[in-house]
Amino acid sequence: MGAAVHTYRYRSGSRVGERSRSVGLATSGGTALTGPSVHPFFYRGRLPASAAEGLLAVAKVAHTRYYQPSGRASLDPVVTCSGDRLRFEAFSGCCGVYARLDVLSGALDGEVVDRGTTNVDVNEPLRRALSRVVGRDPLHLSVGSDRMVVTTREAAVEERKVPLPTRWLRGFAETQVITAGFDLRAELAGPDAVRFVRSLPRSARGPVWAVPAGRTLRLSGRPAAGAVCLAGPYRLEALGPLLPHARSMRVYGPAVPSVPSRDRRPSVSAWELDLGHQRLVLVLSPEISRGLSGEGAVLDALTAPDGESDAELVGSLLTFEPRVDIADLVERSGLSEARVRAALTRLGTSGRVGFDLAESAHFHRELPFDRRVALAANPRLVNAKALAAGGAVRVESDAVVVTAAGREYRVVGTSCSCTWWMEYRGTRGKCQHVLAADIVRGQS
Amino acid sequence: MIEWNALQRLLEDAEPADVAAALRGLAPPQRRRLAGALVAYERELRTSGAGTWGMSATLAVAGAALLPASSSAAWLLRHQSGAENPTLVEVLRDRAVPWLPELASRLADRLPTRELRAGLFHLVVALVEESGGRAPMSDGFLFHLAALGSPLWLREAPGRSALVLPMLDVDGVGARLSPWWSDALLAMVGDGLLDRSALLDASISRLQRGGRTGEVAGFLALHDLLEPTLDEVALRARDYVSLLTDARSPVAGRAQELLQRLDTAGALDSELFHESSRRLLARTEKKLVRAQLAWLADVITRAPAHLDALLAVATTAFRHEAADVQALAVDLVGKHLGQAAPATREQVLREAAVLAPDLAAVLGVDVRPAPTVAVAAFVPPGPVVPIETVDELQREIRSLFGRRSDHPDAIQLERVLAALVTFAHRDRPALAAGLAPVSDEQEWIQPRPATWHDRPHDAPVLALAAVVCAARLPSASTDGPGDRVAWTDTLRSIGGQPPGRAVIERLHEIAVGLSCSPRPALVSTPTTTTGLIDPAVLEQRLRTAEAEGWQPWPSDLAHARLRVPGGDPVEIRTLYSKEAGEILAAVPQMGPIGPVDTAAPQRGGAWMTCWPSLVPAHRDAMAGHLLPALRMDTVGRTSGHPLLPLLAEADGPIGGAMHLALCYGLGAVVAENRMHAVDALLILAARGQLDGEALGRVVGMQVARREIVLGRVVPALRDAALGGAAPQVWELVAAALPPLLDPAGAVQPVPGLADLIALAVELAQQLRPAHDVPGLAAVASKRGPSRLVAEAKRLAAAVACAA
Repeated sequence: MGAAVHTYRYRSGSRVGERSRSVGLATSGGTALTGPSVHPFFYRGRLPASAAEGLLAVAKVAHTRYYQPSGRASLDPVVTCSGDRLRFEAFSGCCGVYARLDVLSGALDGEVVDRGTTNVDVNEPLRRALSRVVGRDPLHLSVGSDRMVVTTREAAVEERKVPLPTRWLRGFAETQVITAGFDLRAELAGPDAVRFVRSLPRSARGPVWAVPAGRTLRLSGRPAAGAVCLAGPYRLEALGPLLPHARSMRVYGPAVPSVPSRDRRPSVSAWELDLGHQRLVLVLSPEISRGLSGEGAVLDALTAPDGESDAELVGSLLTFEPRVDIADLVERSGLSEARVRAALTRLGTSGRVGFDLAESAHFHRELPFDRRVALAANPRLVNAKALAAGGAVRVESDAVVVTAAGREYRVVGTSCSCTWWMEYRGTRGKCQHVLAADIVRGQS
Repeated sequence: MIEWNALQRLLEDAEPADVAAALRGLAPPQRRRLAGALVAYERELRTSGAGTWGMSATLAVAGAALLPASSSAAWLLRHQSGAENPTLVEVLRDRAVPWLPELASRLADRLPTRELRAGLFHLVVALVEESGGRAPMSDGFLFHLAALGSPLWLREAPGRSALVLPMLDVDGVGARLSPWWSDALLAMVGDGLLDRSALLDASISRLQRGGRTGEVAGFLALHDLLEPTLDEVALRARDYVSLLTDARSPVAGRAQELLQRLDTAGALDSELFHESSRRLLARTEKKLVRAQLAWLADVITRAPAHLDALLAVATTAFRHEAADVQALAVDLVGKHLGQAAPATREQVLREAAVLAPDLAAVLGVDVRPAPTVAVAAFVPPGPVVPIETVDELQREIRSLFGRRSDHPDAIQLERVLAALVTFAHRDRPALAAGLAPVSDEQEWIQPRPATWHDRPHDAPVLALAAVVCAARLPSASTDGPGDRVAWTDTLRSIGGQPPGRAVIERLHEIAVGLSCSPRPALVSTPTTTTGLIDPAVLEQRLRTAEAEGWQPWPSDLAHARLRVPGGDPVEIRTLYSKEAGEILAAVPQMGPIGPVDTAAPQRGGAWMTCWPSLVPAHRDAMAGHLLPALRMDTVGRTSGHPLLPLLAEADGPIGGAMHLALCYGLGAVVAENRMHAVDALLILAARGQLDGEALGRVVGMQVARREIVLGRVVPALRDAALGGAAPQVWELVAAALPPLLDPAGAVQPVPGLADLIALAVELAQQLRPAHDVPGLAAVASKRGPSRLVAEAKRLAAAVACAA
């Protein structure tokens, strides 16, 4: 699966200046305010030294497989410049951990050249240089550069072809949709956050639950009221270096426990360090062996009628806002609030908006990959469409019967008789049979 | 020229050398013709399922002799075992093909980076040597080179030393870097084949990347072997500082050591020292933090000009979890605070708010201990909801056979069994048809009658499968069901713990019953989710059975008897009407669960999560049965299981077995099991059933006997206190301490005793308990710098302050 290949074209790779204190991030592809760009140039200026540690944390997630480590994952971080802030996003090679560093306006001291999204090259010399930034001196950073490509020597770009697994892209999109439905479950003061994260058992591989206890959290083997699932606590390791800088740590989980209390099914969780003018957030999948790509949260948005045209309209109104103002979009698009929200979810499924838990708002970014790959390749949806189109769906009085691979599956409401549904009971979205039934019912 | 039939015989029976000899010197058309037959033959073997077992060597040689460049690599990846490599290379040499380097590179690309394929690696090496081409640079090849290759090979041809740095960049290589390799790399530096600084940089870069212990250890050993000089360290000071944050302990320790050496030589600038302190003091390892505080004290004396900045950074250690480390930092800061600027003093005192109250008081800061939390209310067990439809039933069955079937929910199993028996009696054909999807999915579950002639299963999941198999056929009373006593004897001879056998016997009774003597219902199905049966409901079930003229199966009845709340399970018959009492009295004295089998092997059983619900009103007895398994949890890495919370939710008095079970849980090796123990303590606390003192005595004794280690117990107890059981945990610790305290100082204290006392200090400061800990005063009055004595003094002070 996912045989697509992405080609990074960096102009000579990221550079490290004298004394290692200035780094120039090379950019590859993406979109600026003015439209698609080969090597966008967004920012040039100073950042606090701790931003170097934040960038390293994001790069570390991008280069790690937390499940069955083998070889290095090699998809580069994505940076979005929204005018008043820079966001660095990455997704682990196992597709189970999402990381984002937000450098807010209070920490930016420089010139915003343009707004938009692009890939940035984090090579070994750059990583080395970032880890050498210590102490109080600021980090000089540029995202892209204004050097024009004129000479033939300059034109020799550094090309790197990497496999772009569709589950990676889908996971990226899925994370936005899942976290948009999250609630704040706990907030720990800096010292408590330090002690909690440091006390986590490194060896635990299964899901455990973090239960609010006074000012802090304690771990439990079973979900309790208000608990947040923490699957594979070692996957929070990227928070480590920044913990001493944290003013507080906020923990988010799914809004309503949609399952009864005897249910031990794990769920997605988000862990956010507030570093003052910066924030680092990690989103963990429900089990270490599960990527965020298979959570199925995007499926409803993808099958909704009129979804596509609303999303096109709303998408055309976005200009890399740091936080999307829904009331404003309602006014400018002429759509109802519900349709604008649905459109944003749909834009999320194709990587065109992200979700910022701290602000409880979407932000505009255009993932610098061919989006159609992600949209077209949701395997469950592809299968469902094939079933619907192939006449495998039969509506009966009390159920919809879907015939797939020689077997009959009975769909009642949103539940199905297939094994997959049996195992997850809706916690990972609809199965292909329910989706096929939805498609047929929607048509009739 | 050899014909295909003859070649086929050689492939099947002969040695690789025979195949090579037979295929030597073929003309291209002959080769093409045989290649076609060979490919077709091999495809036939693969697709027919016959397989190519035992033939890979001859197939590999034949492929090398016949196939064109395009398909050789894929062929050799499929059929290459290693032993035939010399023959293979010989055959390729005879053909004099120009594509050997390309073949080597293609095979190298497919070398895995996680496990080793020695034969394939050696083939690639042989091909590289044969063709004289460049060595491949794929991650897989470099990984194999580190694991299986030799440094000598790198010296054999010019240019191969260029492989070293890329090799050191591959993940997984660190764990394969033997001392032999490291020595050889150092020798290559000496011979001018490798650049020393590049090698040093590569090892530092890998230390920065981190990874598993073994992986990091390999690079640390290489780094240490290089013995970086002061100049080299000075040049890389910032790199070493970056290792202080989250590198593994030995790595951070080495970086600390080198930076300190640099400082001694006067070559570490103050900003880097400051940053080193900030990073090291924020670490958890006491050894590193203590060393850093000592270094910091040294620098303060040496360079009083930086006092304010240094004091500010020293407060980082205030956040350390251990009070003794906090105390060291308080000592250091307190000594110099008088000379600090007012702003610094203010900052230090602000940071002191995270200290333990008695340590903050040293600095004149009043800190209130964190308020205790109320324990979360106990959610009483709910009713057992019966399964309504055959469709629902088959779904539940499939989930019992699904991926998460290691620790099934006992109540889910009960609901399934109840529905199987009831539906089978009501409409057998409908049930049989409705269960078809189960067989579709699990091919081993097909309609099959059950009798007592069957061999007993040792796994409950197989016994459940037998029930489902029996339910799919109509019942037939033609053949006799067989001899149950003999079956039970065989089951006993298989082994396992009595509750596990009871589960299996009950399941098989239902299977045989469905096949030979169906009943309208089970009487032992629980009415609450802990496994209890409401006595009124049981009586009603028994009356109905009598009115309808049927008798429950024997195990069914016996299990029902064990599930009634209260009292001795044998005596409950007096609770019932005369008729019901007679039925119960007629139960054969099989006692579905015998006494704890101390002779049984010390291991758990499958589906232990189903055990507590067998005797839900007698958890202490069940805890006794679970003790062997729970004890194993304290010895080795076992799987996580929620047994202790299940026992805590059940009913009945708590005695020695429950306390020992909880004790083993607190000392379990696997973190998840310790969490389950904490959950169990909190459930008991919420129900007002946690006797901290009694449990504490057991914990103290087990720790003294070295059955469990405090390093695991103390954090678990702290979590339980945090979760709302602080008063009970104080009682527990206060009762556990006396047998561990040794006023005479005659024996070595158990490891971690100071941590247990430190936990007691936290709790005493929080709760201000009214009573003393026997034996504490004697330990606290001792002299000497030991941490144990220091913590004992703090505890004595905290208790005295409360009294």
